[in-house]
Amino acid sequence: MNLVMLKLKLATLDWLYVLMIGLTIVGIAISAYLMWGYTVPGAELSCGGSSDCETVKDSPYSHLLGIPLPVFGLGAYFALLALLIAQKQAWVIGRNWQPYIALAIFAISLAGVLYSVYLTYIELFVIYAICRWCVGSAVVMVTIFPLGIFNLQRNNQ
Amino acid sequence: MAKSKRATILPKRPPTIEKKSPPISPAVIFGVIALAFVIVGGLIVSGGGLNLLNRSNAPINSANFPTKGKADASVTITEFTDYGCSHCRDFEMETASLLDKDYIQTGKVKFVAHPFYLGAPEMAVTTQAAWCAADQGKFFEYHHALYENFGSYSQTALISIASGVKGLDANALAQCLSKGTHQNDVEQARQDAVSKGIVSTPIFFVNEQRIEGNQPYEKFKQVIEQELAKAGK
Repeated sequence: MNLVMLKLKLATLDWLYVLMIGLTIVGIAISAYLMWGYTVPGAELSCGGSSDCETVKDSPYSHLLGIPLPVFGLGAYFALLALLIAQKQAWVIGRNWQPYIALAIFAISLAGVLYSVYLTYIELFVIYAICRWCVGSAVVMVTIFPLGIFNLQRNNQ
Repeated sequence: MAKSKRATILPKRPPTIEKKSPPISPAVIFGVIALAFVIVGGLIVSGGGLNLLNRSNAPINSANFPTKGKADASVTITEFTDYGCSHCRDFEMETASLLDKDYIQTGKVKFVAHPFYLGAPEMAVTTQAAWCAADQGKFFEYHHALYENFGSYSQTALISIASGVKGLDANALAQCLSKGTHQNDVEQARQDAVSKGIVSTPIFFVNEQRIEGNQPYEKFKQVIEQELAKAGK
């Protein structure tokens, strides 16, 4: 591919879409690491020399309905990835579905942001320990959320 | 000639343009937003979020919990511990024996253990096993053995660990576990602790003074000495 073609390709790239896919993959990686730390016996999360990640892991807020929280995180990011991929496949799903897929992406990211805000509050003011991986996941979700709004706006015209 | 040639050419089909549906109405979008709030709110409530509203730092009545040391010692340490918690293990391995030698065996301090589970629900069975060991008066020995085998807490492993503790009847412990003798006690201990603000482990109360986390021995020593001085000892 010559330089002109590359420039053309970059100029026509759907950056919003690429950014959302990229962030979702980062979210999957973080959740997978947390999942390992939560579910493998004896596994300890790396926390930059601090023990805060383990404190958060050992707290009652690390499980929901008996299920480790990273399971929910991983589920949400995989759902986002699947929906983002589906959204681009208009020839398979039909264009009529695109706005609804964009709405589902928005709804998942909104729910993710709301729960992330609650968890960060718990870490700061209840457990008094910050799990940097959990905060990392929260930051990813908070960044995806406004992109989800733009995505919905763009696909719902 | 030209006419017949034209007749053989298939009529050109108009391209199939799928009609785009009208945009989703704002009412539906607001409905979805409301639904997201309801679902997340429900998850927060079911996850014990409402406990935050009635948090209190008051120490819990640990009268029925395993105790060692002189009953009328002027200083009482209450430890809230979870067998899935690596810091609780570190405290047991690094600091507990020093406290035992310097303060508990000398009659200055009474030590109360409040074993329960905070995070992983699979720790409930491990905690029940510890309570079963307490029925045989071997709580502290088994408690230490559990932390020595940190992380391997299958039902078989719990019984195998018990068989390694001198004076502990592993069969009786297995029966106690299979009957679920202490299932309710463990759940009650958990609810009491969480509702009163014990949301991380280990947490210690040295009389009324709260120590959070696996602090170094010197920190415990300092607080214990303060409390002994208060009691004039």
